[in-house]
Amino acid sequence: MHDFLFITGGILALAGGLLAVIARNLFHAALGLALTLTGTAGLFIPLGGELISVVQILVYLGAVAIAVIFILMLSPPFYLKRPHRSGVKIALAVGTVVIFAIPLWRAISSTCEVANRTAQSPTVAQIGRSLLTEFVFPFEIISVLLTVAIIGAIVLARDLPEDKDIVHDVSTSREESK
Amino acid sequence: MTSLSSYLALSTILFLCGAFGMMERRNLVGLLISIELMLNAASINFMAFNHYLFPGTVTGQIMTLFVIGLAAAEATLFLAIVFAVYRHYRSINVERVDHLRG
Repeated sequence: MHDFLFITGGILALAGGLLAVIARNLFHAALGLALTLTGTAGLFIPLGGELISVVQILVYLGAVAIAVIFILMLSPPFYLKRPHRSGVKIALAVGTVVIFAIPLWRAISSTCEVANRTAQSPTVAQIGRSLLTEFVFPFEIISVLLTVAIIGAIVLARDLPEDKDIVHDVSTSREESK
Repeated sequence: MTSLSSYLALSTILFLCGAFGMMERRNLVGLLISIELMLNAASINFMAFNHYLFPGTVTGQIMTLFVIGLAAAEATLFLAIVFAVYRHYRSINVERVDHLRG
């Protein structure tokens, strides 16, 4: 069962990841990201993270759905021909990937292999208790961060008529001072 | 079949996909997608190390929860910035957003 989940989730995650970076159309790329996130949620189950798997689908996939709506608003119509990728950029990107890949593969191959232990996967109660005792400080920090992000998003995305007035005032006052 | 290094290999490939996208995409939303891929690879690593090296503890799972929370906050702000950039430049191509260039 665990092998099945690992293979299925892994194939979904890899296919989605490739689609997310190769697809020319951003809408398809976002759908690929959604596929990756779903596959990753499946991968978390054999790792004993049923709660994390559910949170991943609830929080992450919701965020991706919003991103898809943004992409539909911001992208040109689908019937227009997409610009081709330039070969130089692809070569540079592949070079970067190779530079990252070599030390990462070395690190993996030098990782000591551990037997698949059959320890009890942590329960939700354990996670919750630890979140409110040992990790209470980062937990509170992240709630502040989310509040700041919400307020910041509203401030950034708002249309700012008063700013235009300020710019206008500055330009008129400059003209007056001349 | 399932071992620590198979999970690590999978997350490495996902991370490299994200890195490729980061270097190659010229669209802000495409960059956001690549960042999410890389964060996702990081959370797979946290979960795998927690399960195989420290069984019975929850530290890695809590880290994954924090990564998911941070990614949500980051996506919110990123989309707001994309919206503001689009309103200002009428484009979300990062090569046209160059007013702060030194």
